[in-house]
Amino acid sequence: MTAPASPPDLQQADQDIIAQVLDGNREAFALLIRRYSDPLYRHALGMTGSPDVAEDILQSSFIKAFHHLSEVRGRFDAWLFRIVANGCKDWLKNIRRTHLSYDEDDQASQYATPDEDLDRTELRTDLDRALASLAPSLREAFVMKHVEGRSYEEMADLLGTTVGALKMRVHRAREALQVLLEEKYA
Amino acid sequence: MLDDLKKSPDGGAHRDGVQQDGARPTRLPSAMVDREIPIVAATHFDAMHRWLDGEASDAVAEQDPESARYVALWRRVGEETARRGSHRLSSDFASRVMSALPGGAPMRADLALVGGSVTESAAPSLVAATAARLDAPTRTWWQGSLELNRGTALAAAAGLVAVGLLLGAALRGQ
Repeated sequence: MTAPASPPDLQQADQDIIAQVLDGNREAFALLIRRYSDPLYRHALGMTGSPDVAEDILQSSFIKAFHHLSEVRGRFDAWLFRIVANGCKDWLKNIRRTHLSYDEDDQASQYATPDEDLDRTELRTDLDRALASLAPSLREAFVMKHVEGRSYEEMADLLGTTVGALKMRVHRAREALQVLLEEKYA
Repeated sequence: MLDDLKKSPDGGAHRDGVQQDGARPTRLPSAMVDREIPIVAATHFDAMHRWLDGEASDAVAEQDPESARYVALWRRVGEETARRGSHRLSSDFASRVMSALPGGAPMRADLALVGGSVTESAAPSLVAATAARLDAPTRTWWQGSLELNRGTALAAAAGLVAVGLLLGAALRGQ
């Protein structure tokens, strides 16, 4: 679950691919898409709550990244993350959601009883509603910590803020979620 | 480790009941605003947060009276977030993005910078056109450098004298 950090050799590999793409090898860009799409998809899914919207944001982010590839300075993964994160925040700002779903996963598990499935679906819906009520910065911190499984240091690196500030955001998000969920689940 | 935000009458010289030799001058209120305040320690549910951050064991959270009632809730939320954390895109996502990309390579920064009018919406296929445009003279005449030699200097001087004479004649005529 933990997203891999970006060690220097991976960063160098990214820079090599970028150089290839800028030199005309357009197909090399697919390597960057395959390398980063899953962790970024989880972020977009956690932020938007919708698989379709998450995929749209990711696709437009990669297209934007392709257009601006020559502007990458420093870590490509952090640069790309910021494009996706801003896309999610813009969506949250502009769209008033009426429905959240993880439709693809809504089918019953073969290992769970019907009661357990119902229970899980209910928690899923309640958690989505609770997450949707958080401020985008708190939601972002919670998703990065608990859905993407990133360390505070990695989060600070990607978001350009301090570990202390991020801990505070995650703690505030947890306490807000507790208040929203405790009546039913605590 | 909370900062003591209450102002003491002596500006903090007697902090913790200890007289400090050579007490520092009283800080301005604005300096207090700029200080970084470690706010994390101020939160409730400290045991729960440390447990959820992986810094304390389950037992620590379960034994803390404030956190204990939420342990079961967070275990369930943890199962759900773990499930979400395992989501993956469909295997053809990369090929779909690639087919949505415009043809050609992205514009290089050097071209983008010099061809200032090429904007975000410009497709990479404009690279060739931009490069061709860069080869052509793009400066207008007043942006070009002025080469001054003896001939141009004399011509400029003669022109100025002529303009002066014409202006003088016009003024006398009035």
